[in-house]
Amino acid sequence: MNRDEEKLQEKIEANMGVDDGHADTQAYRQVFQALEKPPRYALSDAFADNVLRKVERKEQRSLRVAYAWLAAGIVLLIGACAAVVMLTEFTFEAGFLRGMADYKGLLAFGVAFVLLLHWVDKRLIHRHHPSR
Amino acid sequence: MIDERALISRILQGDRQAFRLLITQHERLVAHMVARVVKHDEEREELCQDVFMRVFEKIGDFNFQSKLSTWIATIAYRLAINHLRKQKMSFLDIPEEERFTDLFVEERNPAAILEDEDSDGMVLKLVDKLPPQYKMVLMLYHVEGMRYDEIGEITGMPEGTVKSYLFRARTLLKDKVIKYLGKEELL
Repeated sequence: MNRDEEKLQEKIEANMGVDDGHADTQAYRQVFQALEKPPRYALSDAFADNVLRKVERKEQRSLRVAYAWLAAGIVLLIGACAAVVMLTEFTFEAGFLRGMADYKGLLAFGVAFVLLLHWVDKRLIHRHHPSR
Repeated sequence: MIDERALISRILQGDRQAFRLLITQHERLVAHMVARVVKHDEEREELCQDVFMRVFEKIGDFNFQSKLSTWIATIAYRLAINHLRKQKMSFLDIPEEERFTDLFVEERNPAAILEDEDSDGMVLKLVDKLPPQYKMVLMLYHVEGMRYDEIGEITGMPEGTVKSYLFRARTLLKDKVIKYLGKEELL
């Protein structure tokens, strides 16, 4: 960098005493004055509304995609179960449920725990990632 | 005025009015940045919308290490530069040789630059011919009044590079003003 030019720029910017009879000084003054002008462009009055509409649309699209994945998962699960039943000739034996009857408290805890996890997920994870 | 932490907390809780407030507080900055490097109004509006969409998606990642405006400006800068890259705009630096700097400013028809413009308009036409990074640095410093370190954070450039870009761009513009107007006109 040219040190003299740099010093001159600094002085003009700081409004310190410089030789106004010099063409460089006058040219720099014009440059600094013009550079302070903002671009002649303003966004439309409805800009914020348009952005919010876009956000809503994107969220709805994400929700639809999530439901589509859920539906596909359910269909695949049912299909896989049906295939397993056919291939293994599985027959439903309800006897194990009688054994489970002795652990009602454990079952209730399991269900409550899963529900709690879902609640925590909604409150913490989704709060930090609103677009999800 | 609502502070940044409270505003972001409300946005993260799903408060759309809080996000609207964030947009109105920062749309001027984003519009200025985009307008300096993108020419067509429809593209500008579209790009500004994309900036705030990205802000909404990433707001949970904002860690308060910088001012919110600096963080938003960083997103605007990246998206604007990516937009220009997609349009195959060149990102030439300004080499030192005067021969090359002449290429940035049309000299064959200086009347076109001077025509119907006051001196500010003429300088801004010359600014338009500079590479996008230079235009951004000039705008952030002179219009938005940002510090070198803030501009460095936004553009990813070291502070020394920011200073050098400012110095070189202003010197180039000064030389062109003298060339077009003539020394006598200025005195």
